[in-house]
Amino acid sequence: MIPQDSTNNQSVKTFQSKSIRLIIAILGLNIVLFFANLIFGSINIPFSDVMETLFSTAVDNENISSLIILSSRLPQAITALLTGAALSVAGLLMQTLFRNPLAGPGILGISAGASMGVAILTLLGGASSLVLISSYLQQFSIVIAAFIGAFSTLGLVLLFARFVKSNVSLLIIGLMIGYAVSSFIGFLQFISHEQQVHSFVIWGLGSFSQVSMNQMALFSTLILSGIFASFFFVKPLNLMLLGEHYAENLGVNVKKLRVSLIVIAGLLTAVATAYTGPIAFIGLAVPHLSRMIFKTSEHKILLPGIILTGMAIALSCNLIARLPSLEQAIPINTVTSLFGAPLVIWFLIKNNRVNMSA
Amino acid sequence: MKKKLLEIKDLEIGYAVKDQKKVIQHQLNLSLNEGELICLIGPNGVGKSTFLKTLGRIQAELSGDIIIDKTPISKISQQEFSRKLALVLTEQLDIPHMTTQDVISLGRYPYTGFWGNLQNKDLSIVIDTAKKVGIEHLLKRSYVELSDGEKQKVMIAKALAQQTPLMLLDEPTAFLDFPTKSSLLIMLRKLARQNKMGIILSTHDIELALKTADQIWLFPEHLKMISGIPEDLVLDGQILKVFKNDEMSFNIESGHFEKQFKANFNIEVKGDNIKSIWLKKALIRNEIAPVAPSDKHIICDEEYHLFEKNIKIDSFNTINKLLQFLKIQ
Repeated sequence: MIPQDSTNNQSVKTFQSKSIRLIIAILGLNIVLFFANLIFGSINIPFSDVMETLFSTAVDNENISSLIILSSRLPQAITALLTGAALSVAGLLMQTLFRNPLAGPGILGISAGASMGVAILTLLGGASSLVLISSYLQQFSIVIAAFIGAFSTLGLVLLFARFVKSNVSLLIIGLMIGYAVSSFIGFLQFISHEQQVHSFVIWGLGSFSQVSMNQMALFSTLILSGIFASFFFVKPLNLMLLGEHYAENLGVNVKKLRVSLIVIAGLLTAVATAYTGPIAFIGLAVPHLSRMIFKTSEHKILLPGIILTGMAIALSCNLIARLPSLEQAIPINTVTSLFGAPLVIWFLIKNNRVNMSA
Repeated sequence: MKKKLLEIKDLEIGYAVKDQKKVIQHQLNLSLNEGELICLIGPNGVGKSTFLKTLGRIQAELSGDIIIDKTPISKISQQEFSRKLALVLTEQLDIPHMTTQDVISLGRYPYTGFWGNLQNKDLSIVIDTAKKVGIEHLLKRSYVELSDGEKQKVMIAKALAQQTPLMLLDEPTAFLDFPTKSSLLIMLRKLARQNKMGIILSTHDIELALKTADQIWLFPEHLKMISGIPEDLVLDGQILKVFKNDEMSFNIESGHFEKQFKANFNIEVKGDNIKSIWLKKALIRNEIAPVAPSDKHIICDEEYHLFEKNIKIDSFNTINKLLQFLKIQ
């Protein structure tokens, strides 16, 4: 037999260096995708123009290319990047906390809460009042409504988290809140005018193009701080893989951890949903995809891996949604699920075959 | 004088539902010294698990004190407690993409920093504990691919890596085949001696527990818990009393649980070799008492010779043929 002591340290290191290489590769992919997002669209802009717009100091307001990039494509790409990362991290936190592969950012009803806020505004507020105010204010009021809806659901979930001991019960309560909110939204749609319902449905299809550069500072600060906070929980997240009891026995205060993770995942989901609409699939699927790519459950590697994979997936979806041949951009939710679901299934089957032959 | 690792004073365990207490056991007064292996035995639903959960701080005690190192556990911080007492639970874990080594390494987390990075010292402890448990050849294997027995050993290695003076195991022998059960308990006793630990485990393998444990903590149904060394409990008739049912009974001479039966008839088995021992078992299973007085008797040598009133009837080369012959009669 090979002497374990000498090979052990080495194999840990080779695994880590392999993961680091993978992370660098996905980072590279992200850069390529980011520029592709700036170049391709209804009008293709040459790479040299993109570089000039991004890096030249002299701002040329007359140039249409730079106008398209700065006012539309750049904020859209950054929004996709941040949203992809935010939802993926939220999904990972929920999956590890609840030890449930079906958990995702929507599991606690927070995105449904955001939808409810928007539904109340667009369906009950009525179009008539919105016509009076500028489109910028209209846009901002939607964000505010989504925030209020998402955070009131988050508050409700946290309130239950204080009293309910079992994670499974909490998960079911979250699901129930989601159902209740969804049916309330259904009722609102039922009593509203067709046109209002249409605008609400459009919001529900998701879009990365609703965050203007003016709003970007707030949007990115909120998302980045949520992602930053998640890195403080790498160690307890790893212990949660063993389940609550073992984690507790290894020094984790599970009750406190639960509240912290719900607040972080809730914040990320609330912000992402408020600005881009309820985006399905990414938060649930990217953690699985990353686990398969990195072949690890170690959160130290998984967390950065998931952030980068989430970004790449969101950027790809945004690119597909605006394929040059299409006259109008496809809603982002259509792309995420329609293209993403087969991708995950393919990965699962491919991985299974490897496992069986091994 | 051996060091006292654990002291339990007037402990009351059970569940508190709203304002009502459902007491399962009360007035528990026990202690555990270093190097000792303790087995909790008793029928299902008498509070073995509740007791272990209470000791492991998964469940709160109703009243009384659990004292580790002269400190009641309610006054020990969670961080500190993770270095005092390690748990091995019954739940089956599904942890994809983790090697055995990764899982054992989690046992070192109470000693690591912010990122949970293992130092060289921690790594050598992980490998060392794997060796002690006899799973060093599994370190690179994926945890989910292991057998139940191997998984159990990995969790024991994880608990050992915690380097705690106390270890609690909830039914570690469940789902294992008999030789594995036996060697697991022997291994745990050896670990207790070598590492000067106190190990408490619950099990349904009573015979094994009686053979291996330094002390038995016996949980009878509806009665107060009894503690003592295995032999004293057997001789007091406590084991017989607690585990007796219509089918099986504890045979105080053999130390085994045996089937209770009304013999259809007797056939004396003469001789004391291995074949005769197994022949007796076969007869008992078929409701035949292998004792005198009887008309028939059997002598075992190379074959099984059946006699009636000292006249040889026939010889058989297997027990099966002998039984077939007896059934026809």
